[in-house]
Amino acid sequence: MKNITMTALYVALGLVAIKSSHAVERGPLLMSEVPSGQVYSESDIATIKSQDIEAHKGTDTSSLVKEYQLYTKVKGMAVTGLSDEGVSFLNQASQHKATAFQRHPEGPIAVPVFDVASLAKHKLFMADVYHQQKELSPLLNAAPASFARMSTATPANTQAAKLLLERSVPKADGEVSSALISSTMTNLLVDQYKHIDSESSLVLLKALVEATHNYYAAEVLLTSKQKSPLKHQFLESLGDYFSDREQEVLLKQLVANESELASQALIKYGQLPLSILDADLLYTKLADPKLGASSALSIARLFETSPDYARVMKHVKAHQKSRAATANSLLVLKLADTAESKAALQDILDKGYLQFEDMKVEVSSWLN
Amino acid sequence: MVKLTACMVASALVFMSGVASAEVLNYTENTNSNNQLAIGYPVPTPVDSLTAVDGFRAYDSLHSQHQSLAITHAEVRSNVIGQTHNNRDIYVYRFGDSDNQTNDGLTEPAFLINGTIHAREWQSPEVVTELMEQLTEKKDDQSVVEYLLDNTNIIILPVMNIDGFLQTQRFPTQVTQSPGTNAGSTPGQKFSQPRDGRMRRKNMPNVDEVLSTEGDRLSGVDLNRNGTAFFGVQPGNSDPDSLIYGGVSAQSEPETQALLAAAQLGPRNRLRFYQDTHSFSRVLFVPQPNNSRRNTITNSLAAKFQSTTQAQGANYFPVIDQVGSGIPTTADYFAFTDLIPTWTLEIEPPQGFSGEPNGGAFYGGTGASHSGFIMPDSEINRTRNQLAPAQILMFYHQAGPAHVKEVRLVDSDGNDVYSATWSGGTARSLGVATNNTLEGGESYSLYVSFNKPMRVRNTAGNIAQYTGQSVSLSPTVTITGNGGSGNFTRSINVTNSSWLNQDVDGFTFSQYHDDAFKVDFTLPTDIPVSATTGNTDININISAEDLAGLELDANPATAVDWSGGAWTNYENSNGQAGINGGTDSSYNLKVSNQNLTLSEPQSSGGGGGSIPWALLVLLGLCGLRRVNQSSH
Repeated sequence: MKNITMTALYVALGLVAIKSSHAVERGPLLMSEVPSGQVYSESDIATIKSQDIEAHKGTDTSSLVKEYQLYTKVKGMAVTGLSDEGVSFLNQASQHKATAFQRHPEGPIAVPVFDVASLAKHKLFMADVYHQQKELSPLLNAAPASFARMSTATPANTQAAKLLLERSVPKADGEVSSALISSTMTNLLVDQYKHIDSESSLVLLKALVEATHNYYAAEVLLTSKQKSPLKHQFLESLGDYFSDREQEVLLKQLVANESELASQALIKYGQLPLSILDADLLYTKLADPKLGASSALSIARLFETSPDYARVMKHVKAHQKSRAATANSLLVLKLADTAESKAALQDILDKGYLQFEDMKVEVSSWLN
Repeated sequence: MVKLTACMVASALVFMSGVASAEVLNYTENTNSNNQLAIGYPVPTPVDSLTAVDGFRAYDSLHSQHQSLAITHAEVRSNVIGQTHNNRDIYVYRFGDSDNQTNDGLTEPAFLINGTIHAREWQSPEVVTELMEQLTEKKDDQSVVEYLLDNTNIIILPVMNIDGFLQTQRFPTQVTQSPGTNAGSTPGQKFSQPRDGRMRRKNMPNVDEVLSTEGDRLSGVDLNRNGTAFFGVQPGNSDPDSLIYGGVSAQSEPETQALLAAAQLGPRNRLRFYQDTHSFSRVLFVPQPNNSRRNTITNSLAAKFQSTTQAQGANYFPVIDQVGSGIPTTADYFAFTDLIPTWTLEIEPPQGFSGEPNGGAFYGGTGASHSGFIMPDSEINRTRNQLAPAQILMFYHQAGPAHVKEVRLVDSDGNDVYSATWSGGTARSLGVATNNTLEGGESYSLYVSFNKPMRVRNTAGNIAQYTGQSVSLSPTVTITGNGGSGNFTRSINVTNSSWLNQDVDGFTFSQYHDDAFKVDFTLPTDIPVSATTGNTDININISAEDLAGLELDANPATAVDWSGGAWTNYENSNGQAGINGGTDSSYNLKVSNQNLTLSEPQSSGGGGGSIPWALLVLLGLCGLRRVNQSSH
């Protein structure tokens, strides 16, 4: 029975995937193209949603009510232990065409009130995820290479592995707690994901760091050649997992690599305790055409607790011929936005430290 | 800062005083519960990075990046144009040289781009910032961007609703429950109309920054309903709790007034394009005032925008409004007040397209209500890059049609035979420095330059269409005249490779790559003349589309401008001013009849009319030869 259900699920997912890959190149549905009986106001929708769904059963219902009932039914379906009938129902719902619309707030297009089809597709996906969790769970400690390979094979597998590693999902039968993963096993997995180096492997490296605070995993994730939003999101939360010293090493490495994370790393670097960070690095980077402005923001933020206007003034004087260094030094004072920083800017103007006419004009406008 | 602190203290006092709290709900990737809603992909949070990332930058980073562009590049200037309700400076950035004059000495046209009028639409500041970045990155391209910076004034307001935007970034995964719901309501009910936190749309007058404050979470004005045009026409516009509340009066809000101040930097009477940048739906909402010429130009422009995005795999579909109707948006305001092309750009994901999932479902998400405002961070980089070329093309188009600047004809010895240049401001004159007589059968080089880059090139260095456009890449040049034997037309074969981005035989581009072409040709001898002595007057006729498909101003003597919803002094081939250009036939030369073809006089006739007469002459010559041969 289970196998039949899973086969049905795969067929359903396949159909959904095929359908999704064919975008139609026509305009959006216009209000004028929708029968008036299928267009509903905000208050119509709010009224329907505020009522008990049971109250509508068996009555002569509008398309809005029918859609709401269907949407509610799909939403309420548990993705664990889906029956054949459940899969069939979701598959049918994933092809559903909306019949209840509302007007777009900004223009004359008709927008479906409920997206039954997409919710059903996601339910099917999550059903697959839960199924894959059971397949993957025994491999986690027993066969890390197999686990790594299988966990990156499909989006559902990746999601299943991630949930296993995060331990953040309702317990499924046979689930293994990530707390049981030894550091040796973790390092083996990290090596595997480093070798695979795909978007999926980054997802799982991030999950590993979050679960185990493994420094090696973080290093592999952040220095991967893959460009991914995960790296940026992870970098934002670096302090949740590592000591200031560990962060300092990682951040300096990212700045030195001049990767797509460099600007973010430089700003994070400036947030480390003064006892750890090397302010010289920030001032040196002011002359960098790519990272100078990031350095300026970093220094300006440092000034909230430890202002050093004299050093910026000195920097301006010492680098009068460098456009980047001058511009970014001025930017430090602009972003600091204090009475002292404004006085320093005025001083720079008055003492003729600025050689670039356009910068004089811009700084003057800041001070007016 | 003082006001902010005061605001926070006040908020805390209100909070402690026992005022009812709103329920705080969370968006998640895959978890649903009574107060959690899965959207099906990771919920983005703001990233602290000045450079663009795969994700959404924090306001502080975006603002620092904008300021960095202004201090680093001479072509960018910042202005404070007002303060928000919470006393934050609203900045606008002007892109262009400092002289406010085109290369021709005319007052520059201006374009205004507005971003982040609705707080929750995070796609907007990223797309607008990308445009700002590309304008500086390509400032020395010797092509479209450099031309725009030299000849136009581009005004960009990247974040208008700063208070609201910061509120959404303060609570990137959290919202408060829908109006009329409570803790006992179903999750579907609670999430159906979230109004504060990540889903704040309006500004923040008398609104604290504490998410759970019940008393103010519905407050605020929809800044895109605060315009004078159609003010108050929608039912919700006068309800302070409504999502589309328009305020106590038109233009009542400091943020709206700041937008007007930004327009003044154009200055206002030089505005030729306005875009309000929103998300989501992947459409352009295009207002239609009662001005058919303006609407024709605007709708054509919207189609070009669409084709630019289509060529990159997106499809920003223009939704054309009903003529004369509207709502109090800023796009309607500038359309109806200034009679310029305007629209509301709704960045992806799509919504309402048959066969395409709506909102977050477009990216494989659950399609949860409002998920379209939460674009996955993996999609924004592509989106930024798809929209920048389309917006730049709009500027290029609205900078005005091209006109011929210079025409030269050089003989095979390198001597000028004809040389003429247009000069002057609004009224130009054609200065003809050289006008010697041409000879039939002789080889010449024709050089023509224009006032703007006419073509772009692909990575291989070959002339190519601007992204998604379909214009005739080769200019057309003809020689016409009447040598007493009827009108004639002869074509000069000009190809793509005639455009110049470097020196070719002593000819090169004028100011921008591919703003000129050079073609070598032999003056035909089959030009019909009625006598083999004397000269025949000929015209050189030039037609070309610019890279946005605008035809030439056929009469450069009167400079094109914009007024009353359309181009002015934009002449077609017949010299009639309108919204289409044509062939410029201003160049009068003379050719010696000596090598031309004697032809029977005709009262009129088209090109090629000399051929039967030439055949007769040929037959006659053959006949004479036979007579001569037989006489030997």
